[in-house]
Amino acid sequence: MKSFIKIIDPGFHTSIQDNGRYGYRRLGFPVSGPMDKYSFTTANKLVGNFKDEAVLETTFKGPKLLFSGPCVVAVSGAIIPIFKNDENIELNKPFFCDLGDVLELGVVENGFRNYISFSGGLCQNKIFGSYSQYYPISENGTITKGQNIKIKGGVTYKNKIKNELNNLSFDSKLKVFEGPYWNNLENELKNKILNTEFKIGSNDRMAYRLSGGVLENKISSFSASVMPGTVQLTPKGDLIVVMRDGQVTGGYPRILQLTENSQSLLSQFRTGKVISFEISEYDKSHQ
Amino acid sequence: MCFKINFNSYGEKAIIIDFKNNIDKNIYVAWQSELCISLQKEFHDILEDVVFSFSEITLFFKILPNRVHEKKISTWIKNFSLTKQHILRNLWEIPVCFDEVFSEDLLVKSENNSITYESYISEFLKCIFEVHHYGFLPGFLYLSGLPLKLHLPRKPTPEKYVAPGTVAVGESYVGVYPQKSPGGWNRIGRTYCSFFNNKNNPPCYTLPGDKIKFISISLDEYQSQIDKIHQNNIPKSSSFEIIY
Repeated sequence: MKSFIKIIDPGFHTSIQDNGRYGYRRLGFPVSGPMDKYSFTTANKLVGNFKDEAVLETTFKGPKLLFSGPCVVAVSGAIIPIFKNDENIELNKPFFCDLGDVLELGVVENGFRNYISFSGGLCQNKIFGSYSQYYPISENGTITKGQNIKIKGGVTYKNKIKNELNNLSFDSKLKVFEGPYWNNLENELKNKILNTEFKIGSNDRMAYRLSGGVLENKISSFSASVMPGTVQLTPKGDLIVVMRDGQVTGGYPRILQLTENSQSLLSQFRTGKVISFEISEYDKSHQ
Repeated sequence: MCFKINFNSYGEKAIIIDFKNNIDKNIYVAWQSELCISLQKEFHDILEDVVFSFSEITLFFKILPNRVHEKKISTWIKNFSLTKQHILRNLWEIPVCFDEVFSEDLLVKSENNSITYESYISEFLKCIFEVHHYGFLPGFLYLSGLPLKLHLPRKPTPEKYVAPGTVAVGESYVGVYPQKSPGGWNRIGRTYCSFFNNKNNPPCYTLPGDKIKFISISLDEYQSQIDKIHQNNIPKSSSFEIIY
């Protein structure tokens, strides 16, 4: 019999996320999936999931969960207090939960998002090839109070944590590739962008807005594909970074592209944090 | 059809094929969309998504692409372009209510404009639009074919709430909002037809290259139909064939 977790308190913004929904971008479907892919993968590895199984992605304040059966669990991502019943649990360390156990995450101390993984992964309502929640493709955009979520279970794990499964260091310099529009920018504007410290404004799973320098411009661009990590320059001079639930096309010039690890890093930052960019070269070694 | 194929890197795992200098973006919409679907099928082991927009096709890879992949794909596209394509598409008749309660932005715009509210709607109803692509939201249609005199500039500040079914104009494009969302386009009418249903597969019944004609309905008719919106209300259509 499959066991499940019952949501006693969903936390601030908690959703089910697997690796994302692919093959439907041309219908306007965002890819969804984990904002911090690095911590997502770490959490899965810790409980012995060989593939990227569905986990809970929490934001700021974590949820409170009740277990109906045996399962190996791990939490990765932001620095946050974790309790199994009254016992203090360490980040990035797998632990065992059974019938009646209650897992509770507090409020983040450093970082913004956490990933709670379960052996075998969550298996609640796969739609268009993915468990990732995104309204209106899935019925809800988040988990809800009182909901029961099925767990596949059945995976044995080895309690061996490798050193590389530590957190990313929360460095505020984000590595980027040049975007498709980068070389159309004037050198003065390029230099300004690379030497400016940007402040994170409003942000969610769709996009992060950054403001800082006076980057006002008169570039007119056409609507084209964007993807998670794409940095767009608005006419007013703000930057919009497309995130996991972001649009598939955008009308502003695509000036930079965050590396996968930089996307993970950015999603651990919130309003007010100051960041800057550093250009990376494409790794051509595989060609 | 013959053209030059240029590959440009977009991040590590995407490649843009630029069509800007090659094809007339308005003529080959159906062809481009068939190309994307066929590419995705043919190279499903290495491609996770293929998307086209106004002047480019973006290939999203599951792996780090290399020169060998580029060569294979480029050869395949050349062969596709040399093969005669018979493409079936539909002309849809979409009932829209242009009552003033649904067209407040048009009322405001027509006050400062050379075209009156009434003549705007009557000119709009004469148009046959083409489904260009989906974007912005799941099932949000970008329709092309709006004559220059009916273009309306986007609002400087988007509305916080636009209702599902809203037919709106943004510059040269017409869009239909599939769900409630913020939006900066000008609301000119409302349809009870839904272009996106997550219970259906495929969830969107219109394809790029389809034609759309809007039919005016009264507020009474709109209200009597709106309750049926959840019963898979697919509008009337007739099919036609395009050969490239």
